[in-house]
Amino acid sequence: MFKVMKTQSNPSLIGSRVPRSDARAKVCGTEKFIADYSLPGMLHVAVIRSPVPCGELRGSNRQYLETLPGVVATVFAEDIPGENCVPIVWRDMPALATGKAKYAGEPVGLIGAETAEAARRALAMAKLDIHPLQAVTDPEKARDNDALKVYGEDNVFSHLVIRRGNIEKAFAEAAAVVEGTYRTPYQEHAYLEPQGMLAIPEGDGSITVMGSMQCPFYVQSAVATVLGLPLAKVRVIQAATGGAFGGKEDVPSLVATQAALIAWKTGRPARLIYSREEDIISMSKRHPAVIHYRSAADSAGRLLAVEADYILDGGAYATLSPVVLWRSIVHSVGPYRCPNVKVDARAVATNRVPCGAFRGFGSPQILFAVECQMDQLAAKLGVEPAEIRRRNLLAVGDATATGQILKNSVGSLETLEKALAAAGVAPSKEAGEGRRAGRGMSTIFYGMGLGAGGVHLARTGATVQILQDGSAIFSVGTTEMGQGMRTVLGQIVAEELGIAFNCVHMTPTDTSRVPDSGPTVASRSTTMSGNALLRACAPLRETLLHVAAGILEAESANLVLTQGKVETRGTNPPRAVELQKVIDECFRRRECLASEGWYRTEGTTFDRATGQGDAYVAYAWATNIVDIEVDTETGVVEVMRIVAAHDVGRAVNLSGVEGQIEGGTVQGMGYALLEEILCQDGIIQNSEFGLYHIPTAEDAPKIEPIVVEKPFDGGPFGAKGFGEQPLMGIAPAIANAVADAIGIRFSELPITPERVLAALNSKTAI
Amino acid sequence: MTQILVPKDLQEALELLAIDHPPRLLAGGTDLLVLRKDNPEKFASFLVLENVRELCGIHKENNRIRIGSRATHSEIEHSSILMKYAPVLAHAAAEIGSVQIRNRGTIGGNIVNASPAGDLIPALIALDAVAELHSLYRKREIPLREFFLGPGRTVCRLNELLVAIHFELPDAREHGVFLKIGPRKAVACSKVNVAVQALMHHRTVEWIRIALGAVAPTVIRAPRTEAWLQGKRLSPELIAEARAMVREEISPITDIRSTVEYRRHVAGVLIERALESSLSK
Ligand SMILES: Cc1cc2nc3c(=O)[nH]c(=O)nc-3n(C[C@H](O)[C@H](O)[C@H](O)COP(=O)(O)OP(=O)(O)OC[C@H]3O[C@@H](n4cnc5c(N)ncnc54)[C@H](O)[C@@H]3O)c2cc1C
Repeated sequence: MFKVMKTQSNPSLIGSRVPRSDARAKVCGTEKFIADYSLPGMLHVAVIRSPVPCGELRGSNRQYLETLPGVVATVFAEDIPGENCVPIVWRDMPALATGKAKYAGEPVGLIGAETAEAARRALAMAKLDIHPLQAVTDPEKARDNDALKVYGEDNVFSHLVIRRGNIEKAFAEAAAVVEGTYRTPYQEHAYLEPQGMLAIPEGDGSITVMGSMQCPFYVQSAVATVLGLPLAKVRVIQAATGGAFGGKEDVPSLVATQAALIAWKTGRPARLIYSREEDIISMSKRHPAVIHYRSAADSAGRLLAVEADYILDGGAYATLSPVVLWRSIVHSVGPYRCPNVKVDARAVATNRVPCGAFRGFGSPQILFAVECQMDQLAAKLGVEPAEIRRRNLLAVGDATATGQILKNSVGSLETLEKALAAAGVAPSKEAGEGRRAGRGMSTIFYGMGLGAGGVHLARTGATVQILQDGSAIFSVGTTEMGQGMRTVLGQIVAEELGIAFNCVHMTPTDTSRVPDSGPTVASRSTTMSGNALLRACAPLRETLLHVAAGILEAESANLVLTQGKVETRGTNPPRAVELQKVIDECFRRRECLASEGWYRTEGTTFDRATGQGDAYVAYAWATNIVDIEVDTETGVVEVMRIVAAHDVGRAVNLSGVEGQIEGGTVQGMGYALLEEILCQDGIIQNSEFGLYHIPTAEDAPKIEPIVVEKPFDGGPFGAKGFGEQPLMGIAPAIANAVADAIGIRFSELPITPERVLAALNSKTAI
Repeated sequence: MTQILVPKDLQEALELLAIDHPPRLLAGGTDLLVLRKDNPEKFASFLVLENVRELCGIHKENNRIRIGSRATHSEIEHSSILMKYAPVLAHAAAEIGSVQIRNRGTIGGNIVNASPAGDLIPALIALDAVAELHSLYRKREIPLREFFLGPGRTVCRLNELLVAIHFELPDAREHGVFLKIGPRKAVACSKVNVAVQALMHHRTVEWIRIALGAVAPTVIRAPRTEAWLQGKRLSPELIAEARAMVREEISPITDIRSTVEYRRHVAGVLIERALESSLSK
């Protein structure tokens, strides 16, 4: 099915620990983020937002605002020159609310002013005539008959199912059945750099937008829609982006329309940098979920059936919810064989902030339930948590819950065994006075790339050019957001062309340089842009070898291109020519040393009626083993050690993979123990980092990354891509460890000291 | 426009303060600049204490220790004088924020900011510290336990300056402990904090001062528990009783950072741990 891509046996740069090419600039502070850009005549934008979760918009004091010192323009829905819509999966979200505001923090109007100070002062004076309406603020009540309608007739954006086998029969015959209701909270991305955009109207009727983002082509489409321009007249350039985690997938489109509308109305450059507070109240989050989950196993500990019925809180607009929901159902049974599956998943509409992409994309919620269930099944059957997983893990030749037969690159069992070996014997449960220790594990999988749910976007472009001095530039349509893509892709280009890594440079991602390459999400950049780059490099290699063959008087088929030179193979002694000489000769002959590559994913399928199909081209596999200690007097759960084994296909950059494991693991710890958006009647209460806590470096436990490499024949050098998986299985592993330590099962996150203590006290009371 | 005044010494600072709407004192700015972010209009004028040398230093003076209000948490944390004579304060400082915050934040700011959760305050109250307030026209000394009126409110007037804090040189046999529970290990506002300073003689409590933060509108002492412990021999049973008694003496609330039940329970646990650590000495 897949064309076998480059799988060189012993490449020098691939698998190495090349330092991040962007590290120096970021550490030294010379990297330019969007807030570092400023232009003559540039306006500053402030956004007027709805103070209520649901309200009828009747007017504003915009005339007054326009008289305030420094204010140049205001923009409301009626001024939008194009369509008032930010297209994401659907087209239900307006750029500026009109008629009705549907969540607290929803943008209603824009102010453009000479200084940030003037914009802020005007914002403080802005008044909306807004008549508060009753709101749907509890996702669990969104589907009640008498609930107000935020979306459609039933407040359901999307309902997806899996129907496989016959669960009734399986549950009737099972030796063990476990049932639970799991609740997972919002998670805030907490990227270092808040959202920001700069829009520059060009004199020729086109507009350039720069900013912090993952997906320039999404931004391009949103700006074109709102301004009523052809895509050709909207150029989007990604500025250095200070973290994203999915939080800069869809919502930067909205932010860009805000800067662009002021720029368009005034003809002046306009910049908008979000404050942390407005970022937290109005930008996307991980979907809260409520999951009813039932699993059955036979006496040999084999999973027989799964029934899951759950909701994700999509918020007021669909944004990415339909595809987040899709990924979640594909992962809804975990990395296990299970012949009978019935899943009903719904993304519901509420008057709350729209939820979107976040590392794992709907899978961490459902995997939390799956992995807590597995431990409970094991306990019921009297087998070890590792053993029940061993008996059920998918292997080559098995079918997934969506009926996909796995053909290659399945490292599930290897991650399990390697993690177990590294973790060794669990520490004693008695961890000193008032302290109990526990060990928990999770085994998870992750569908690589967009899969069948996003197949229309599953393509990428790249260009590569060798310059006269022997250096090379390349461009791709995916973005660097701190994940290390630029380094990994630079390694691939350097490896392919024999050019030194530090002579290879990636240009800023720019919609005018490469064709629409889809989004930078789903851990897809290394594989997708990597494959496109391999294709772009191929003709350049051919030219180099052809020209070298002339110089060396050899057949080009008998030449190898290595770092800095071309050598003959099979002659004794080998003859060689310096690569620079070859390049000089190419230029003398006026050969074209620029090339393009294009790659698209083939072969995914999905049937919506049954939820069956080949959902993803490949899966990544992981096992986490977590040791914790619970202070039984204060309820504090301390994570002591995490062993995380990940099958990544091929680690193109080993340090990069380990960095992802460390960062994702700590972010998963925050999700498990700490992070909670407090939303009261639809209004977020803790929109600042003094009240929304993420783990600090001091909270990080000892993390032991283990890299497993089961090459994927559709990825560059066998790579499957990496980034999301490290977060996904941490929360259930921690919950399982807590259950192991104190015998209390938490099915709601986060497991805060307050909750632990309350549970311990009620248990002691019983 | 923000006005920034940079007096060269204490006298000039006091003169600049002696007006009707005096400028706001700015020490490390780690509380004030956070406040200003949301409300810049309210803070039109600052008096920066950067050059006022009279506010610096940590000194042992005969039978007392005197700490200039501009001493940073880092200076306090690493002060050999405090490590030796008042480790309770050095330990409290070490628990504040992050290295960056400790390098900027000052003891004066921590006190005058008057957060019920401020970490140095229980330690200072357990040391029975005294605040030295100066204005152009008068100087006064206020025991810290009488200094706080409510969250963010103190007896320090707008044209007064907290110059220093002093306390009696602790006896070498005294023992002090600071403990805090926050949401995470660093950069964390206390859900509950406690400081205990005691003089023990063969496990018998000669005297003890217990101060608790984030369990009442201001940092408070636990006088009933202190009095009850005095003269008694520490034992696990006694500690358990003290734990229960402290829980009765506080009036925590449920807010965005924690719950009343949690705070009440953990305040008892921290007192228990502080007393146990005295026991082990
Ligand atoms: C990220 C972060 C983490 C933090 N963590 C902690 C923590 O763990 N524990 C904790 O207790 N605090 C913490 N804080 C709060 C703060 O750092 C401390 O309260 C610090 O001691 C304040 O000192 P400052 O010098 O920065 O005060 P400033 O912000 O300069 O001033 C605070 C107040 O005191 C007044 N003031 C300052 N000096 C004087 C003076 N000499 N005379 C009269 N008035 C004066 C100011 O006018 C202002 O009202 C944290 C703050 C941040 C931003």
